[in-house]
Amino acid sequence: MLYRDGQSGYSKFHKMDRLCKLGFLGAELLLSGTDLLSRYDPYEVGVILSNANASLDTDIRHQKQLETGFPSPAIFVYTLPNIVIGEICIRHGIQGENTFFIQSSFDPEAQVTYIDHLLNSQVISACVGGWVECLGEDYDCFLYFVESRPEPEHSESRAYSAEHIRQLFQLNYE
Amino acid sequence: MNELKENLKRQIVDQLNLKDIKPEDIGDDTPLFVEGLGLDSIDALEMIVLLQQQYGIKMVSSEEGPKVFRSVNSMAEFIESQKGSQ
Repeated sequence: MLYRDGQSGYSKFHKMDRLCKLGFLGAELLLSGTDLLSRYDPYEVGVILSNANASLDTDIRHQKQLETGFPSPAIFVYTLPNIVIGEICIRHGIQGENTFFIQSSFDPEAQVTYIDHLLNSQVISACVGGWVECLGEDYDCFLYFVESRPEPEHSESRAYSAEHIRQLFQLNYE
Repeated sequence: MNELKENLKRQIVDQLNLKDIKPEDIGDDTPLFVEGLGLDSIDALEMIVLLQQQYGIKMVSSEEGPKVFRSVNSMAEFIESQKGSQ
């Protein structure tokens, strides 16, 4: 419904696997219609995501197709979790550092430490971070935007810390 | 031949998951790649699977691809020629 309401011109959406659709829609909600990316060079923006099951949701589909003898190339290309980052980057013109971490559960300390390092070492100046998980009927998407030089008028901006990100993540479940 | 072309259009839409395109939107001579339907390299691989799955045709030469997958017309002609040679 969200896609139909907002993105009817992006035909590649229908070809994505479910993990990519989830991350893509999350990024649409976070970035589209905002000026968050407009002040940065494409190489200054990174995307650092994580989940627990990598691309297992699509891996299982691919394995089932292998058993029938006609595996689909269009499904095979999604048997890596970092493809969701690629779809987000293509959509929003992001070309900076990106990494997808596999963790047993969302680890704000690890993610904030890594992104903070990238920001402080000026590898990137802004970053989309978060957790994008999809397996069977279960799915979860939490994305946030952090930047090293926020506009003063973004009065809602808060310091980037593991504790703050944990609090935001937990809002998903309240 | 016309029935084959109509089947191909339906199969292309189904196999490539083209939600925004209907089989009747595809002309017999509409270019399938780039300026036509805008298909990409992964779609080309899907088309090879389609030929194998639906028509039992294995493409052995990658050089055939651009010519065979130019349009529904060229695909239908290729399928007919393969039937004749089998």
